[in-house]
Amino acid sequence: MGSRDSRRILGPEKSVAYSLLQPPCQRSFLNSTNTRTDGRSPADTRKHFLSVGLISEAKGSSYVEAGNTKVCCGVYGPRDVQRGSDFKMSCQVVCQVKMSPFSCPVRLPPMSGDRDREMSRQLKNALESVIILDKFPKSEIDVYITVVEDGGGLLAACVTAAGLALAHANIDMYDIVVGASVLYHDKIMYVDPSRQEEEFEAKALRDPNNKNEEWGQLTVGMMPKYASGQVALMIQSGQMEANNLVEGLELATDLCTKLYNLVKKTLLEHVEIILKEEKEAIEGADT
Amino acid sequence: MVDINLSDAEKCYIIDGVKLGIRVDGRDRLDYRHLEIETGLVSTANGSARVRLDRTDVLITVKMEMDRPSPDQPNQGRLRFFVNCSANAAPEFEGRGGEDLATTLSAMMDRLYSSPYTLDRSCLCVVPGKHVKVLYVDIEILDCAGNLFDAVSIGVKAALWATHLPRIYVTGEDGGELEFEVSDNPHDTERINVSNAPILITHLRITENLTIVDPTPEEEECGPVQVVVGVTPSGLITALQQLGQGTFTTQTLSAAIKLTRELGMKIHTHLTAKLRQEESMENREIRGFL
Repeated sequence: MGSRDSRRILGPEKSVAYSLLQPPCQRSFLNSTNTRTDGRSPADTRKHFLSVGLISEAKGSSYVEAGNTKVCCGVYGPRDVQRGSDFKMSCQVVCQVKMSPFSCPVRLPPMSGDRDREMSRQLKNALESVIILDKFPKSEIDVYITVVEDGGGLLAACVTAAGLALAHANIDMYDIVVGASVLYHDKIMYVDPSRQEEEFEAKALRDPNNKNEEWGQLTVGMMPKYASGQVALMIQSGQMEANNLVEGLELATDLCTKLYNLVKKTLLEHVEIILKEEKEAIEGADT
Repeated sequence: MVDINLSDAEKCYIIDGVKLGIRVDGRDRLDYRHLEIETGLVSTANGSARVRLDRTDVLITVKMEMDRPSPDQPNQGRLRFFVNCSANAAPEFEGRGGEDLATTLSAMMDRLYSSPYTLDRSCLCVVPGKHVKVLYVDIEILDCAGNLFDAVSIGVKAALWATHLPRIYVTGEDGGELEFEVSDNPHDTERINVSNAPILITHLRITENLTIVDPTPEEEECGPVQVVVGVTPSGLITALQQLGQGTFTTQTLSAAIKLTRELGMKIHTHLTAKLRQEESMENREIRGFL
């Protein structure tokens, strides 16, 4: 523990999550009928649910559910840069991803950890190439994300949520950014992996008898319609052949295009509802 | 990293040159600059290496300590990366100025070595579940003239290659506590197997659909977006991350990934050969910072 938070009671310092003491369960990804544990085929995505406008105080907000992954995002600004920070002629993007303590099976400490900070940085990096920064000189846009549950493909869900919330906040962008994740395991690409699959991979790795040499996870954030598809974020970890990585990138691109249509539909529905409400309000005022 | 102010005409000159296949310093798109490596120059560390890539200058040291293993990996040692951006390298690094770059760089190194195949951590175990060795890899940025990631990753591999860990013997047990003896014979040491250790290759997107490797600071000024790809000697991609403001097309990314594989395997072969050559030199004089 590098820095201790003296204002909170952290509980016994040496406690260990009990799930770590259990032996890793050895399950394969696919069962006998070639479906994944949640009934999907390797190329299937999880069920997605998107909505906008759940935070009333924010300029724009969104809620994204992908399988069990649940994140909500609020966008504030553009507003004056905070005092003390540098004056810049282009916009500054502030990103903060916060994992709630109960978002994973293992409890997370309330102070932000390495993973939060790394995701915030990666997201900021991606959003800086999505937002038209020159449109907002001397100002700052804040993007805050709260992770309610991490059910796998977290960074991808965060990217989609941020893109949707920015659109809801009427921030000028080159295109809406959407995120997708692909897992490579045992010579098969699994689109949109769940948490069980991500964890299985991590546990199998620690097994010294595991001879499976190739594995990896890839997260892509892209703008599918801007200049015939531009990748704003690409992160891979693991160990895979270059050709397989390229194949994974193509699969992630396809998933991004699918999600893009869903994002567009969500925004259109939202606009329709607003127009209807306005119309009713005018009619109500007339009578 | 130091402020470089290029006029539009100068940028145009660099970019148009790359389009024609000629870079300002006469290199091809896939050529590296002159690289110098020296290992074993810090006597207080278990292993060290200094890499100079043209004017880019990094010093990497490896120090070993003992620690308890994490409960979910009882027989695995640990590898931890720390980056210090010295204010000597650039005035912007003064105070907390270099922190952003330092965290990005250490996170990238963590990701690069996250796969257990890249480095066998089970050989760092002393007593399973009780005592493991932790390798602290400290990266000191002395001068920063473009392509920092590649220089650092090559330096880390060289420093791990040159690391000699003293052997630790368990001599007995006293009231449940184990007793250790550290060998004081300087030749009774263990080496780390780096035959699978990866390196990073940075591709800078200088203009639409064109990337270059090993960019100079002037070239980095022309194209802010780069993709850093980690590759093992067998050609497997172990880490990839896009950095900087800007976007890639999928075609450019795919091309960069495939180029990395070819280029990475070549660099690994050269690097290993040179490290072997250095080791076989008798009474090697350490040049250090002279």
